Amino acid sequence: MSRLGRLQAESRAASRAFLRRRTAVFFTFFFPLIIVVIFGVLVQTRPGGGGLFTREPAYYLPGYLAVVVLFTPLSRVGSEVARHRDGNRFEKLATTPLTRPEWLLAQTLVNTVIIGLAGLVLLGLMVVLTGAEIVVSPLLVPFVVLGVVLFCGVGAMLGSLASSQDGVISASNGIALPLLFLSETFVPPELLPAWFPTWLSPLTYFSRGVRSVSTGSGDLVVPLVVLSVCAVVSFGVGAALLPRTD
Amino acid sequence: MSEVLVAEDVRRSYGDTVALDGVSLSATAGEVLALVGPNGAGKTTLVRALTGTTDADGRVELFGEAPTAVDRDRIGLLPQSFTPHERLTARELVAYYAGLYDETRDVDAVLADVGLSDTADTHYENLSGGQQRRTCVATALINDPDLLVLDEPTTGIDPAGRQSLWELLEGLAEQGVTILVTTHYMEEAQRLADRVGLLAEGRLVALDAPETLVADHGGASQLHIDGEFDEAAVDAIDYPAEMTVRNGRLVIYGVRPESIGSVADELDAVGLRYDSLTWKQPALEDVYLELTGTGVGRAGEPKATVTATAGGSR
Amino acid sequence: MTTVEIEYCVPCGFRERALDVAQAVLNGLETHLDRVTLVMGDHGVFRVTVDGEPVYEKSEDDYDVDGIVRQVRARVYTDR
Repeated sequence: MSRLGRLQAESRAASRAFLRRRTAVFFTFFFPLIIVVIFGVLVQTRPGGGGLFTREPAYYLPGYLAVVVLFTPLSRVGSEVARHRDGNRFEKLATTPLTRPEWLLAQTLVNTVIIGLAGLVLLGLMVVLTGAEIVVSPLLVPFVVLGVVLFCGVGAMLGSLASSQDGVISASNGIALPLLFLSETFVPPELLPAWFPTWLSPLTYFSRGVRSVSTGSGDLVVPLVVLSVCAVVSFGVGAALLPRTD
Repeated sequence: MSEVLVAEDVRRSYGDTVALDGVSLSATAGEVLALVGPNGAGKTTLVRALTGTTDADGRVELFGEAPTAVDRDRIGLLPQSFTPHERLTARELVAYYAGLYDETRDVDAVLADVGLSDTADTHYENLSGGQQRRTCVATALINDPDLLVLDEPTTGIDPAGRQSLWELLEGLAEQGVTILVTTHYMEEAQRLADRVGLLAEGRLVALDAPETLVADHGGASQLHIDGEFDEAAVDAIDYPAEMTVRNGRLVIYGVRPESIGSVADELDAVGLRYDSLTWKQPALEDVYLELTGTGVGRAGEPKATVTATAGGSR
Repeated sequence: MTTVEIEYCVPCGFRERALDVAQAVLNGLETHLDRVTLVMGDHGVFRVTVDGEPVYEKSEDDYDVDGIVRQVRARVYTDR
């Protein structure tokens, strides 16, 4: 069995547990729909060209994708870690061959699949509801995957550091919301003060990368490299912070 | 008899609270060793030190190696107040933990051993307290461990569930599985264990077979008189024996069976009402009381007892 | 962990009998028993149980201390 078997066992259990929590499933897929409807359909662009969404619809794809790639891992992995701590499951796992990085990798795999699907739903909605012309290319996949790995790592950190499950949820929202609007997703940099360091947020590289893929223009390499480094660091720190007892 | 588990002068503190204050013990293959003590006595910390899930000073060896170096397949752990995924079925849970090991026993065989064959496809959250605990024991048995560690396995479940779990553990002991179990139910330790370690404030105050402990420290037999008693009542009784009041119950030490009648007469003479008279052999609870001065209450909270001596000495 | 319980009717003056049975049981089986309890009752009750299982019922069996002790011993040994 060894590592692959362990990963398989952990992923299967994690996905089953997720799929049987109907509310979690519903909101994971319903959430992107609400966002697209609100930002893509309800919020109109003023004829004079002012207002929030002045850029062409395709510009906001990273924003919509970021919603799923950012919020879902943070809250899901964060609350999963908190649940494991409440049930003393890490103490149990510490006496099995499964290592903490393997545990986090399995959670990340499950979240990558879930978010991949939610992302596809999102793409479809965007094209249908907002008429965005998007260059759909496989190059989107590495960015989504790296984003998910990155924020699963952050979610693991939150779950390990916060004292309780609702501590995790509020922490993840507290981080995700500001990050979402300050990483060149819905708010183009020119609308922010010049000095504002959007480059500090890892999500910015996700936005830039996705945008260059979906619009066919712009640099791909730097965002990909930076996002990869951030993802690896975040995964490492997240796994290391996972407790051995409670 | 090979030493499965050796601990020498194990110490662990959390900040300035000392959880373990130099505990030494060992367990041989096939033995059932129980660690007993109220909440906060250091049971869970000791279990974590022994399984290597927490660092501790002092020497700890499992099968001759450091706990963290031991092959994971050899240990089966049921942590304290352990709650697995509630939305998985009993079979799915046991299969999940089986998947974490290279070689394991057959899932359905283990489910049968713990008596869950016909509820194997019920979600964990819909099982009874006893069934849930037996599922958890099954997850600790799936890798056929040489050492089974159970941290308060019967806490918080109904008496019937506890009874069924004891029978399960007795069966495992008979098959030669080495078991380390912590509990705050004295009766459980006395029934299950070959040897019992009494823990108080991070120290092991005694470690021996239950019968020996009771014989050495249990003290005399006791007559428990159920009713509403207090200090004044104890003084009023003119009977040459040590008496004490424990949560409203009068306890008289060293009463021979033939003198129960005379005690009853004395109580009538003084006009004390009571509901029942129980003659009791000393048990582990009394040993713990003797050695630590505190009882291990129902909920496992340490309880000081009111002691007054009336009349002659014991 | 064997428990013997003797429930007797107080107003009927069965206390002496209950004490005799308790003493006989203890003298014979002290080392095998965990506890013997005398419980005050009424309405003519006189019942002896071992771990909750009745071994003597005044309404069904006639009163014989040695007989009761034999019943208790039989029950205790089947448990061992």
